Amino acid sequence: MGAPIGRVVVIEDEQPVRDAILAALRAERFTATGFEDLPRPADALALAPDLAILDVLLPSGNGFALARLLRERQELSIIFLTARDAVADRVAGLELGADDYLVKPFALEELMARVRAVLRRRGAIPRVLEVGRMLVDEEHGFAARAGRELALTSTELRLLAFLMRHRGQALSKDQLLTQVWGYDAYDHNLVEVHISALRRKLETNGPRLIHTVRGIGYRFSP
Amino acid sequence: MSGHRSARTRLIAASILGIVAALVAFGVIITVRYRDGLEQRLRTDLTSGASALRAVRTPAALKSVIASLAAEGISVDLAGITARGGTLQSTPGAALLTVRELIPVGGSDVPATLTGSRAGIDRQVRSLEVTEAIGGVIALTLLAALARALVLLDRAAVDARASEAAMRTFLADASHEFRTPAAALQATAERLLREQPPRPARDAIEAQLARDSRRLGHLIDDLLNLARLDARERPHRESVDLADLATAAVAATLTADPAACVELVTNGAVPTTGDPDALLRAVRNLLDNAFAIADTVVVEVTQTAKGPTMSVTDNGPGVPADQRERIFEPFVRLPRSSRAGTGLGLAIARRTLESHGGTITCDPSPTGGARFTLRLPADS
Repeated sequence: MGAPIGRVVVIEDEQPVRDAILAALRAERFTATGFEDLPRPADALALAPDLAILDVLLPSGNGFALARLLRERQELSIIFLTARDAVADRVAGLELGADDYLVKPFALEELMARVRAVLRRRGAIPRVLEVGRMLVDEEHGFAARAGRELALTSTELRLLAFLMRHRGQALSKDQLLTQVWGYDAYDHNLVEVHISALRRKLETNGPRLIHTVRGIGYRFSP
Repeated sequence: MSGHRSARTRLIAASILGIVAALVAFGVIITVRYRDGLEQRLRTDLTSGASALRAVRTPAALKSVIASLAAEGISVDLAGITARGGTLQSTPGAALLTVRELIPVGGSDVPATLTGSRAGIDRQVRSLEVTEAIGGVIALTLLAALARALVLLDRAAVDARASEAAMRTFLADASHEFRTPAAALQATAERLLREQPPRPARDAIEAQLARDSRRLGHLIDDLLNLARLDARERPHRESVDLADLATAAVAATLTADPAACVELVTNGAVPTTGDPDALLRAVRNLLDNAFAIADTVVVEVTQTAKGPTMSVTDNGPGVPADQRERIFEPFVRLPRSSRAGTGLGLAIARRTLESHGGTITCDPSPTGGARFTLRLPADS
């Protein structure tokens, strides 16, 4: 899908968290690089990142100080991750001009939604999601196929956007449930009902877009 | 906090001084007014005594008037009569007020001098002063007790604030410690869901899940251990041989890691009393801690003049002097130390030793590593 856009550095000392974030970023075709401790600012900036995802508490110092250093040299967006949810910490982070602030543990999809929002705001990624003749504008809740607007509910829009972002990948019902509906949803029927509604609205006068993958779930491909 | 305390205590001290000064001033005013009153009364008495003398017509009446005046501290000097009657004496000195009168004695007027003595007034004022002094002492004692109570109350309030702050810090730290593995668990589980990776990669991610779950389990265990140590005042007590305990701890370390380089130095039994399980956990925490940063550890058990002693010495980088006390606080880790532990091992070890009436300290070893020394009371 064209050249990768959106360069992100992830500075997080917890390896499982860092790996999961990097994998999620790369799955959405962002260029992502991880650091397990405070990098030298020059090393982080050499990648010309659009966004730094920064853990506040790192082995050799705190992320706030690094954020200030990075900001002094280059205009970039910052999302802080922290295991402390003290109000003072949030304020400190936001005063530094952090674009967002996420308290651990967090849902990956929530982080990804904020990453996309931040990158869209700075124009590092397009404001709309476009695959084939399908177009989705998540910010304005607008979806169109071949230039004709579709009347989608907000859940349908989120589901469609998730499918489009992971185009070509087979997605299980569990995956869709947790990433689109969240962790309190357990009912596979929910997925089935919404998929069939989406299909009705999307595919009435066009080819199949949402394919059933036997034994797994669904795949979006134009 | 201490600034708070001294400011409040200073305020209490200043108030007490103010009250004492007010009491003294009040006492002085009372005394002066009392003396004024007494003098005023004596003056009245002298005047009325003089008119009584003037009204006297017989020697017998004169005698009785003079006697009753004497009872009130007034002496009468009748120039002509003193020699005759011999009963009338003038009080020497201390004259307060003198009234001269001509009184009719035996048909002729005789000059008389009435003298009020200050001695009586002085005596009464002195007795007032004694009463005031006793009252003052009682008031001061009460004030001192009040001040002490206020200071103690203030200190208790300060201590309560401090322990509340410590509790808040502990809770913030503990929630941080829980969030970290919880975040890892959630991120890893989601990754598994999102990526649906094939076999070898999937195994690695699942192993990570297992590791993070265990980490969370250890943290819960250690927090419970710490809570139990805080809640229970006296540990379970039985005879324990410190040498046996060290042997068991070293054996457990070797079971977990057969390649661990640990040397055990003992020289016969070193008996003490305590809870063997709790003590073993404390020693194992020290060993785990040592192996997290060092590759060689020496455990030595000796009976010293100070009682049963065990030292755990490692060849790691040592603990900076200003951190040697801090590392026994919950969740305090040295910068760049391993994040694998729960951060509670040393806190648990210290509370365990303290509950046994013992001590645990951290010192540098002669070769630059860290040496933890446990001292326990001798077997009683």
